[in-house]
Amino acid sequence: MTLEVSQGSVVAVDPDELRAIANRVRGAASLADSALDHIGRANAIQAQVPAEWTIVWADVMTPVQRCEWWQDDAVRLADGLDAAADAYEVIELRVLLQMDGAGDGSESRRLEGILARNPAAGEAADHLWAAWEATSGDGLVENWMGAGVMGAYVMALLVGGIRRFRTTGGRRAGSLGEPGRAARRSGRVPGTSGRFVDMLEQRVGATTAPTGLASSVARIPNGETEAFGEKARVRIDKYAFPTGEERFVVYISGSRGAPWKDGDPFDWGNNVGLYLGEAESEGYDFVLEALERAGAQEGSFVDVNGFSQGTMVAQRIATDSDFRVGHVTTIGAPVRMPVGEDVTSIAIAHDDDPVAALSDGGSPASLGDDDSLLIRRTYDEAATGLREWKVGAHRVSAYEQTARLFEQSGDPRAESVREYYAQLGRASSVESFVYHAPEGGGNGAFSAPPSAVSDAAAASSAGAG
Amino acid sequence: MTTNLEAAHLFWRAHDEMCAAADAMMMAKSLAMGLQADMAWRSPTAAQQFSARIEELLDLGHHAVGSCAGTANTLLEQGNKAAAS
Repeated sequence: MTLEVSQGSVVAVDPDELRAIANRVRGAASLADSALDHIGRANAIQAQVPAEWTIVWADVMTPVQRCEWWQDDAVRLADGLDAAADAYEVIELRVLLQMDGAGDGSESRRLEGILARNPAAGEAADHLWAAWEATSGDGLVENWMGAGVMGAYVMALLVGGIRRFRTTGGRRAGSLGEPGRAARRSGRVPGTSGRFVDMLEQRVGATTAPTGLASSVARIPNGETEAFGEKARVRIDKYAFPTGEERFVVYISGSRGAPWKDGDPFDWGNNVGLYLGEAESEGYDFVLEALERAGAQEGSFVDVNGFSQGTMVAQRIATDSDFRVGHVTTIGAPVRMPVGEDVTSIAIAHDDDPVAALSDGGSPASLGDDDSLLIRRTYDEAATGLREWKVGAHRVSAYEQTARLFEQSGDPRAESVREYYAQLGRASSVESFVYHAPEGGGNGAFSAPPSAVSDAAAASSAGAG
Repeated sequence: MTTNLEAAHLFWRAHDEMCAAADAMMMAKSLAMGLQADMAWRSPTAAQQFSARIEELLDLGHHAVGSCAGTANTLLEQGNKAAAS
């Protein structure tokens, strides 16, 4: 039940901040020079005292030795902080170069400068990079060797396939190629709904904000409960705040229907295009249209939540749409995409979820702003095969459990997550809409809802969702 | 020939120098203490390691200050003894 919470990043602190702290440590160390000068003068004065008054000092260490020891230690600490700053900066520059290509050359020059000045920083960065790579690609197969012969075999097939696919497609490890793919589809992806998308709208009515991460995750439409029926794909909660601000919180379903069936905007086949970063995405268009129907316009404040395929759509809303996205929450994401320094990204991934494994280690850089988190856990530590992974770890309810564990873990970083939901809770009203995939062509209005839908809506309004 | 009073004055001057040394080390220690609060680590593990390292430094600083102050006290006492004799 161990939770591992990080920023999806191997970099622990801003290198410039680290160097500033190192300078302050050096400043403190230099004060010891002043102390040593005073001690030197005190010793010189004592040397003039007549022998009969001489003090026989019995201390194990003299003040000089203690002050010099302190000074040496402070300088060692400052040197260590500078070395760590160089190593972290080397990592960041490597990530930038791999994600953004050669850029204007300034990153390459800066990297070369650091390595020339401090070759050890390159070695330290290599170690940190290797630790990240251990969770991606071939290293992932090795990590799964403990899952028994069958588990390792299946994982080897799965990850081997991904590796071949990545190599032949020029995809590169983890999320390193994502910004490049986003740039390549730039201008070919609508920022708001550009065309009519057939869907059925269900006005759920007034509801309340989720009490936290777990209850929010549970609002993602899924096939595990009867809430809102089998065709629910997107839920949008529209918040009105006393300040007059409006915010739309979107919940996006994962793949639905049988894997061999198509015709649904969230059918299994639509995963491929999203995974490859192609411009066309029926799920993305569906969410843009749903947002428009819920009242969102270009520049509206939007937060997105997604499961599985829905995570790829959610991240694309953050990177490609014309909405102002502040929060991205993903569970079981096959791609973990950096969503920008102004966006908070909360990603939950189970190590035994084969869909999450498709992220191939994700990103060594942070996925979003400083409050962003990657929460990892092995859902079922006893499970050792593909069958267990399929039914257990890749479910909304499983991720809901992990989110609850995080909230109850006492981790101080849960506070910023709690604050986000507390802010939502200060809304003066919340209105909920659910958008359903049409069944053989829809008429744009949700008619004759099954009784299960009404019950689920009521349950959600009562706080169950 | 140095008189006892002159010896006392020497001890008192040496005492003042050691007090100044203790003050300098106290200031250095305070600067190090401020670093703990100012560092915004992204990783709690790194934050814990840094805190533990600063604690070590503060502990060494504490002993350095104590050593200077203890020496200063001894010098003062010896000076007073010389002056009174």
